[in-house]
Amino acid sequence: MNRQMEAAIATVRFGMGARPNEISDALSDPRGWLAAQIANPAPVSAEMTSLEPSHQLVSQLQVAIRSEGVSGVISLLRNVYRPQYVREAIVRSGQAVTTSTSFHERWVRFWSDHFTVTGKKPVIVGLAGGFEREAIRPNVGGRFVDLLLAVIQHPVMILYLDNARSFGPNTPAARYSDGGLNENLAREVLELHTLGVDGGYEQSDVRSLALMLTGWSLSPADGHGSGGGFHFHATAHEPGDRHLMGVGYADDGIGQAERALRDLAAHPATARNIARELARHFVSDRPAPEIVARLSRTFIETEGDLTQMALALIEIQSAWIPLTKLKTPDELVISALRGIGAKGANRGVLNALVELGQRPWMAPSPKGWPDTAEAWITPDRALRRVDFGAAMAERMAPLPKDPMIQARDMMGELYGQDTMMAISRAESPRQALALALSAPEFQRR
Amino acid sequence: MPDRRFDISRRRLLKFSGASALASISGRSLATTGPDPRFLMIILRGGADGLSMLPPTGDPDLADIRGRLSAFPTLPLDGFFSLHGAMPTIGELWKQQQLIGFHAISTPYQDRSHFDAQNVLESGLARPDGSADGWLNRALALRPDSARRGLSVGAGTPLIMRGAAPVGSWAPSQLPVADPTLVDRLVPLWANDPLLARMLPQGRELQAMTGGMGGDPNSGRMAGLLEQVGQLMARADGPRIVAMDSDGWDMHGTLLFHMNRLSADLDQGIARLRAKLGDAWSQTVVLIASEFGRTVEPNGTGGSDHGIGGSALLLGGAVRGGRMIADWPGLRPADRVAARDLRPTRDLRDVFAAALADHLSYSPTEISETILPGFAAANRTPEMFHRTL
Repeated sequence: MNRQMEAAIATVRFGMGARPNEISDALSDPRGWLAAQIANPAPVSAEMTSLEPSHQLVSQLQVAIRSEGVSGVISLLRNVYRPQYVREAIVRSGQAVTTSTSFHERWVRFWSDHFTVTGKKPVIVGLAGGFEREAIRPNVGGRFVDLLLAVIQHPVMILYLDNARSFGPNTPAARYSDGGLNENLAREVLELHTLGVDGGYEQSDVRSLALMLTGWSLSPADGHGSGGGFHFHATAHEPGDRHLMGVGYADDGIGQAERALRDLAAHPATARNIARELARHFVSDRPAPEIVARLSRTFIETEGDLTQMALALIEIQSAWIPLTKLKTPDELVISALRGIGAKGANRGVLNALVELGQRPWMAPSPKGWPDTAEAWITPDRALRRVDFGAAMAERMAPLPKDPMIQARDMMGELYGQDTMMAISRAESPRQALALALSAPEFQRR
Repeated sequence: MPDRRFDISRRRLLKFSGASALASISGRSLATTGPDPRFLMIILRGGADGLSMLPPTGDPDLADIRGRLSAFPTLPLDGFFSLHGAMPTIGELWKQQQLIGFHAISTPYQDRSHFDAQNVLESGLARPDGSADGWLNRALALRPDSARRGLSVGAGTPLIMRGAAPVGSWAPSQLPVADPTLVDRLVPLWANDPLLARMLPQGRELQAMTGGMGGDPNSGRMAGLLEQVGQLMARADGPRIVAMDSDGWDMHGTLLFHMNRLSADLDQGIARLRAKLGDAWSQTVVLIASEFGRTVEPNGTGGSDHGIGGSALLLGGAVRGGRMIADWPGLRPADRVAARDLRPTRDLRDVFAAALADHLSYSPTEISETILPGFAAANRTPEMFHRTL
């Protein structure tokens, strides 16, 4: 494969689409260009740095529940969480549109999706952005186990998967309330975050992990801005030694579940589960078993070093086969904005994502968004994608002087002959751009 | 079901007019009477087929030469020219003497590139020189308050409105339905992708089944936009010189179908524009023009190719209409340019100049020196408009 082609693939498969001139930047060494992004990601925008920390938002929720009950929560959702959501979504899109290290940005999105929290649960609407900024983003270059611990010890995950009020049945907390055990977090940790659905655990393992996780909760709000963070409540923690996947864990409070999570992170089933997801995301919807096996080995050998995993992906030959993956709506929108050299994102970007069916942080379940083509393309959605391409072209000003050059800037040699021909024969520069953004090649990465 | 995409929320209207609201409170009273002319330019992008828009049904050669492309319903105008049958509102305007049709007309550009032709149409110059400003912007720059008076519809400001004078711009906020001719061009491209191959045709079938009241879900883009434009232009503090695009007129194939669809949409838009303008319609002029015309003879795919001479429509309550202005060159090969294109016998800038002078009250000097440099505005065709000044 020629390097022109590889440079284009580097920007669309691994990155989030080429900004003007990016393909030429990648040209001399496409793999090195990608590796440098993982080693040295660009800093996040000032807008993102200044967004409110989750614990403050969570503590407002705690205060609202305590003082005003349901009506307080409803007004918090309307007056604080909704606007926060819009800000977060726009800032996040803007970061992806403008960053010079969009492979890193994709890497953040991948792990954010792996550890999905979703606004389908209404209180999460205003919190998902903070969760991604705090638990995911700083930890995607380190080891998987640290990412896992940061995630499970984040107040938003605790809230999302109902662990805040999961009380050990034989604890003071359970006695003073009518509460008890909630297995939700434990189940998703095993099924989604670590071992995978076929990872060999049983219901007894779920219960065992759930018991170990009792007490993993939130610090109470004092009404003066503190609280809302992760806190271990010993009075809610079920006493006793546990077994998980055949390993024994003595009860020493918070350390019990921590050690269990560390072991889960290092389990071969986790390596396979992660390898499968990575291969599906970076190689194809149905990756060859050898690729999954190889990534799985790398995961074990490097003790889940995520930087090494990213570098291993770059070295997979079949990850460089052009356009095997269909873009999700988010990928389509971000790549289109990058393609036209947009300076950021606005409310319109959020609207487009809504129209195309992928509202940020609104995945249907903790499983996250689907990562295969069939889930994302229907006849109706196909027309919407064209509507989007046309609307982008409509909004772009000034229009490119030479639509052919712009098309090559966006996709390098990835457009087929027919598409380039159609672009060259467009009835106006605007239509040429609409064609480039709605062409079948641009639907793929 | 009403189409919510085209609702202008009260809030957005206020936002649009926010800057000018103060001006209208402090200065221009809303009750001020007197002339307040409005001008709307609709650019048909792609090169509209003049022989379909204003077919010379009285020309004995038309049916022979055009064949199947001449087989569509028409509305008689002056006995020689007719109007495309999908435009009953505009036909009504003819009867009310509010429509002038132009034929065999073109800009000074005598070649066949969309991009260059649009450059000439919008710059108002004699040649495509890559001019960075448009003639409507230069006109706006000669009067105060261009940011309120000038409006570009659709967020990307077209060249005709670009330049030194700040102008407003407005676009509906949600995804509009893409121009069907764009989808036409994409269908064969998507067919190259096995997963995507059938998606767009199936999507259209679905759309046709579930689409709106009209049964044709693809119609209505211009209709919706023009309704909102009418709403804006009707306001006492609204824009007065407005430009907007209509895409999809480059009909190399299935011309009958697309012509019918786009003409109906445009016609419906004019009806809604007029309704929204209300009393202000009597002070309104709409010019509908394209960058060029098309070949006299059909091509091999049920369409026509780029050609020089075309047609234009000038309509509105301020137009002294009910007539065609055309020096008909004929359709036979010897009558054409290079034996292929309808020969242009009139300069479109004549219409621009007349609208500027006799509707918008620019002086011939302003026009010849600044707005349409080099065009002899003093020799413009007279009496196209009721004087609104």
